[in-house]
Amino acid sequence: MVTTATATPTASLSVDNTIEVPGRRADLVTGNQTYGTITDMVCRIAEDKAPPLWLPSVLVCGTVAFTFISLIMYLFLTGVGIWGNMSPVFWAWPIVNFVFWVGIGHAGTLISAILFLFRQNWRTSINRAAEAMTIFAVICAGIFPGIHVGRAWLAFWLTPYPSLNLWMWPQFRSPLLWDVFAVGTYASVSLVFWYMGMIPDLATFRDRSKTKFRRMAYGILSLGWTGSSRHWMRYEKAYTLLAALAAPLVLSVHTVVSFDFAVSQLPGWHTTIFPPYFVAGAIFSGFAMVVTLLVPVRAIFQIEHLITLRHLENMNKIILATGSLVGLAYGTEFFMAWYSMNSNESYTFMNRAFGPYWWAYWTMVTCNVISPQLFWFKKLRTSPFWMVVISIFVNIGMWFERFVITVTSLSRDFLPSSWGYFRPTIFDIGMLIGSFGLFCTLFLLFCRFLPIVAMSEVKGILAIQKHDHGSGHGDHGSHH
Amino acid sequence: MTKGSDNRSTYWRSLNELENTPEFEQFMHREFPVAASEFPDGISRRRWLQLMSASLALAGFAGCRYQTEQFAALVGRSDQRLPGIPMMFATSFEWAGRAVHLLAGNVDGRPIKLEGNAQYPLTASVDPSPFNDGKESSFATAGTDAYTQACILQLYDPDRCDQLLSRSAAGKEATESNWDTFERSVRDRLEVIKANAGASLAILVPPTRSPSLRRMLGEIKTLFPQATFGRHSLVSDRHFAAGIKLAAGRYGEALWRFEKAAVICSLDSDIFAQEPAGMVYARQYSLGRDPKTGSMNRMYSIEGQYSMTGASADSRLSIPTHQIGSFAVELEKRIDAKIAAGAATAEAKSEATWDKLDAAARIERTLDVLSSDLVANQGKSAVIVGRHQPAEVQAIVWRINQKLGNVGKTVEILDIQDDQEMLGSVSLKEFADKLASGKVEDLWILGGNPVYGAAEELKLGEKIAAVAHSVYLADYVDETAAFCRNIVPAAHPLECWSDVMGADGGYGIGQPQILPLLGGKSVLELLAMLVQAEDRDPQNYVRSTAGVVAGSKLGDQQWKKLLHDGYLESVAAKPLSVKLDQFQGEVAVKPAAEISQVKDLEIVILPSESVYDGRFANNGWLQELPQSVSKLVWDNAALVSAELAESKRLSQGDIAVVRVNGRSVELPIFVVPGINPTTIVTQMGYGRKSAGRVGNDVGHDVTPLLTAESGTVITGVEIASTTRPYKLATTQDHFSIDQGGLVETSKRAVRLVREGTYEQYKHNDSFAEHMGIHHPPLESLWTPPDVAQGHAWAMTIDLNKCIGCNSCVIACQAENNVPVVGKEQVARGREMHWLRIDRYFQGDPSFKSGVNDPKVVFQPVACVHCEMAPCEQVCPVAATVHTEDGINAMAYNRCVGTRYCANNCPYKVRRFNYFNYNKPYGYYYGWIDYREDANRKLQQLVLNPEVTVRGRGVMEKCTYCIQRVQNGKIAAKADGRELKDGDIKTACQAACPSQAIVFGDRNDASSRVAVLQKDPRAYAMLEELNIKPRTLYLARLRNVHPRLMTQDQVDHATGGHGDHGHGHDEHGHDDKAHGDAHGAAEGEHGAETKPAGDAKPAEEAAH
Repeated sequence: MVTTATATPTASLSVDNTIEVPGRRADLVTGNQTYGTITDMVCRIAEDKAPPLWLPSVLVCGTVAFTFISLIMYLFLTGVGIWGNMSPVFWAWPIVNFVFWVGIGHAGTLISAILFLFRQNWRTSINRAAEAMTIFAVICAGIFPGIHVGRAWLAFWLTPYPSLNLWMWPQFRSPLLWDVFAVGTYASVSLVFWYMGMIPDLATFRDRSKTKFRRMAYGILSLGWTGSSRHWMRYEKAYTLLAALAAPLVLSVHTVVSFDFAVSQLPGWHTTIFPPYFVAGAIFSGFAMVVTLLVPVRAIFQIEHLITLRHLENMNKIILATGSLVGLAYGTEFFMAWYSMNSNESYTFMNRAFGPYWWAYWTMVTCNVISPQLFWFKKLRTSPFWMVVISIFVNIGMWFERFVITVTSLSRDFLPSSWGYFRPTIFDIGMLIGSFGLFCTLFLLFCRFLPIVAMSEVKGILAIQKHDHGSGHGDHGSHH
Repeated sequence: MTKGSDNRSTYWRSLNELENTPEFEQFMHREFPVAASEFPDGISRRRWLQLMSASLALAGFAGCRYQTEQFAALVGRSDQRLPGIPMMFATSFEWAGRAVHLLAGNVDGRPIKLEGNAQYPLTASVDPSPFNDGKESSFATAGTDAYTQACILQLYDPDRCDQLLSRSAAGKEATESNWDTFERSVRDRLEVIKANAGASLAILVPPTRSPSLRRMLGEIKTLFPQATFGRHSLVSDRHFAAGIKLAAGRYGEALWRFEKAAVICSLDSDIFAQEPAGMVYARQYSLGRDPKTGSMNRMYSIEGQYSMTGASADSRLSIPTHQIGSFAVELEKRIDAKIAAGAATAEAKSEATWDKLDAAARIERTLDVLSSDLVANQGKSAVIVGRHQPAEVQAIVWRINQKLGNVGKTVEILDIQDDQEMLGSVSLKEFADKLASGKVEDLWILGGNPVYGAAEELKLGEKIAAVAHSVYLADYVDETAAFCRNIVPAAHPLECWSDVMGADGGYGIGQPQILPLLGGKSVLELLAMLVQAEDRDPQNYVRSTAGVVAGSKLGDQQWKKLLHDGYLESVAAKPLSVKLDQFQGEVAVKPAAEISQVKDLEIVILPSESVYDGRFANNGWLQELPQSVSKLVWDNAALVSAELAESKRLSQGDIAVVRVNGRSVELPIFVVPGINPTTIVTQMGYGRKSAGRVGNDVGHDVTPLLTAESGTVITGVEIASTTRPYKLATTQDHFSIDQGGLVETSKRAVRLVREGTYEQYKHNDSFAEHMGIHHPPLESLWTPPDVAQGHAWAMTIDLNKCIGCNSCVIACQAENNVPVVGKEQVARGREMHWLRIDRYFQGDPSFKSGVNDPKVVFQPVACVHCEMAPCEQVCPVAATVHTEDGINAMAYNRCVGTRYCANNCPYKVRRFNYFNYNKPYGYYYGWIDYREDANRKLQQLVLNPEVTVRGRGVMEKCTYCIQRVQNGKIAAKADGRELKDGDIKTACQAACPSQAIVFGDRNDASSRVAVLQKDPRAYAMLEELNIKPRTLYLARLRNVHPRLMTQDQVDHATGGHGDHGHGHDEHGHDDKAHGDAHGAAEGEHGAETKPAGDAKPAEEAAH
């Protein structure tokens, strides 16, 4: 890991790597980067003074996160009745938030594992930030089901631990139990994957550290990485293995989350389309969140050369594709509701679109189906402003999708005598905002103290870009 | 109080006592040293037990407060008494204006549950025989009403008046007094009263059916001939009394025998809810609703409101309440004509069906058909009119019954004296005038809270306050207490000796189950004090009354038997042989054709199904009891039809101003389709200002609309919306939901609550089976459990008998420690009732097309204990599991509260403890709602120790009263015998007056439930989900006269299975498993849609 300390000649930003030139691969990073410039660009984020916006942002988000924790304390003291959920809508915002955040958490591992396995080299600039986002989103997601149960202090009973007092296991037919396994596995594998991938970069941080504390901290985190060939060899092997392990999890976790709904017999939940539909939706929302975060991050920390418009455009294309899939799924649901001739089912869907929650349904359709279609226009999908707007719309839409599925289905099920109308309380709203506070706080801390771009990997594709523009299948990294 | 000073010299407990310090005085005065006065503030169960033993010990110490009878301390165990095992004691008393005959379940000295006394002759006489033939009648239940079930909570209400209060002058604060002072002042006044022969004495009594109280009042009248007696009740039966006097020339009480009636016609009478013997009538009615035995009565209801009875009726006609008289006159004319012309027939001719008729034509058609039906069933019919209808109308209806020959057959007029006549009591208005005359110096108000609801012009409160020596026997420190000088705490009926005359004139005895918790006194004790009787023991007094009633003094054995049975045998009142056609007067009537033209608005003020006349306002169970048709809780409202709401621009939930002759009240609007477009229905008893913590300011007081002369049906009403919104809490979606939901509801309701006409049933008795969703054969993902071994608990609910009276709901609440959650939480959909009664409107879903005639159907829904329970499959911690005998059980300890089970329950019968409803809790900003707070404190005393109290965060639901099941099994095992059918009765079953609910072991082929589950009417709600519920419903039948049928009913009645059959054919052909023969398909279908072992042989299928 040799780096040169020469200052990088700043290339003009007008270089547009989104233009497709036949026979030639577009540059994955721009601005005539060298190893040195890349290292510099990434490391100085943690080394220089923080950008002026950073500290106020941390303070604001931290306060919101603290409020979130206070609300949780209050919840523990009083009871889950502080939320608006009720009979028949026994699950409401907390579960909506859970599914929403788990969905967000899909992008990171998809980018780092699946795109890695498919040798999509453009992933290298964004995978680190995306993975971090995944971890934080999964943290937010994990909180909600934990505090949602009536007796949160006993939530550990969902785990299969050997209990001498009880001599019993959890009930393995319950999708909630599968959920515990699925989300737990996903969280731990993602965390390991993220951390392991960060080790070479942490070592770079360590090597450049000027204070004892930083050297110590990064030293411990980098686990004695020296950059020897043997380290690299094992790293590459482990990375590939973990990627192979993580890849199916990307599909499994939201599949299992969808089982929470699909395995039940509630009209509107009980459908076989849910697993693929949920996974597509998760990728859709995850990518949207990555775009939402990376556009300001690359501007604030001036890493536009590493995270280029082409990266963003690629992501927007995936958003377009998954958004269309989600739209197709909505249509299919309606078709099946009619085709199945199940009157409960068909009523549920008519009720979604035209019942008392019509506003939620049409918000969802507008945001999820219509807004991503704007990405057909290259001008919009390459405009940082518009892509942030659209990706935020997508995330609003995806939150509403979960709301629509969870709440409208529950609110009117089999017996009209038991129908109800759910209204959120300020605690529902507060905790949703609070979870964003926690998420943003963690992400801001990450931006400041950890390598937000996988330097070593970007350097790998730099070599491909330089040596072998055409083939693109270089076994990246191993040359170094 | 009296003998206390004597006792002190004999025993002493401390030096202080001997010294007679003020502390000791204080201590002695308060029999329960710490607890009594501070009762509301957190008495734990442990504390409760201490209190109980303390009270028993102190009682043994020859009470210091006043002479009590000797309750033996339980130092040695008496025979047959096992600690913790409930003992049942028979008792009877007056409750909510009716006589109740009960068995009180007493656990370790604490009454916690009331059941009807099935042996009481009137009840026993209408026990259905089919299941008692040759078997022990262990099935016998009596049923009670909801008020009676909630009686227990009233007993433990800490807001009840708990001490003697007195005020020195009107307007001064009432302060704690003591019995000695009170006694002294009574003695002093007695001299004065004696001197003037009672001229200065006035006694205001609520109507009473207690022979002892009547006797004692009679004695007082003899003693003080000049005394004034007043009679007051907000729920008045004066019209009834006057009506029967007009008709018969003398007073008597009516006892109906609806089980002998083939045709019942209710003219604005809510037979089940408002008649004092309503629960007995429900039983009689249900006896006549057994199509298997061919006994199927037909009930007509003609009313302006939408009553429980209207919902049960086979045909209902909506006309303005104040036009019932016109209808009765027209009816009589036609009956006269038809009787004169010989037996009349009303055979179907080709004419428009009911649903195509306009209002006028409906009245005409009903008159025609009803009169024919009545004439064809002379001596087997019953025409009953609402008690709030004018006396003349009542008299006309009696005349009709006389002409139809019903008197002595379906109705008996019993030789019972009117307490008003007996005492020469005056009305409240005259009584108030008497007070105003200034001659009254001693006023004794024996309960009843007359100030609340008394007409404003009477200025009753001021007049009471002006009396220098007033005594009020107070259940609560209420509106009346505010004006009285002496306020005496009243004992609860479960705390004192009493007696009551049953609806049949029989004699029921009331024995105390517990010493007065809050130091109350019974009315007999108080009156004994007034006259300074020698023997103040109410037990002796009641015993001597019983002797008078029985005709000879009761020996010890007879007395014991009376206490054991709860009633005296064969003392029922004799029927009078009177002619009921002595009324010759006329009433102002409209011709039939004009009844529907009436545009004048009326308001009908009914006793509330929850708080009655306001006396139960502080009862959380009743406040949270959904009213049968509106499903409103914690409120009253102006119930109006959709037409009226539309024409007067009243929107649901807005406050409206109701005006009559310059008097006005504000009421929230609630739309109930089916109410007459000229009628506004509301309930009294709300808007109380001094009801107690629970009942203060709940709902709106409508009594300002009443005047001293007006009845509770008032015409000339104006109504206008203020557009000010008001939050109403209901347990079921109200009528004003979106159109799509309304249409879907009415589409589904016919599948969920299956009903057909009797004609249809005769044609095809298993029609209900085919009313569900047609589906492919149901297959399970896993092997269904083997349920053929051991017990298989199951239930049937006969919708043909259910009248929607709600007593099962409260019975379940009392039995299973179900908490009250308050209006806020109900509005959030968090009510906790394990058993609810669903109400659906059936008919044209728009209900607005000028056809104002939806049917109302009730369906009690509790956990149906699915064999393939969807809740169990999704619980991650195995907290809800099946017992070996098929009960879907909850392991509360294991539940962590994911609520997934509730989401997956298609019946939505699971209830979640969102907060700890048994402890103080705050929500939103941490304040504690006083209603929940009061509830918490009550609960600890009223709890059934056999049922776990659930904490916060835990799911709960109906367990088929598993504690009763276990008790039944244990008892059988201890006796070394097999369980018999009927050994185990669930709380809802025991409380059901119409015996619609049957519980038992389905594996015992001879059991009642097994037989009923094979009934062709039996169906499983949502059977298409393949969850195999253990609770089956028996389809409802409407015995509609063919000429009153809707097109739909005609199609089904004549076409048999119609398109259902067609669908079924297809079904059979599509699926090989169904075989080729249609009959075989039928059998298969039955087998797969109903739980195993239920297949009906193919040849039986009446297809």
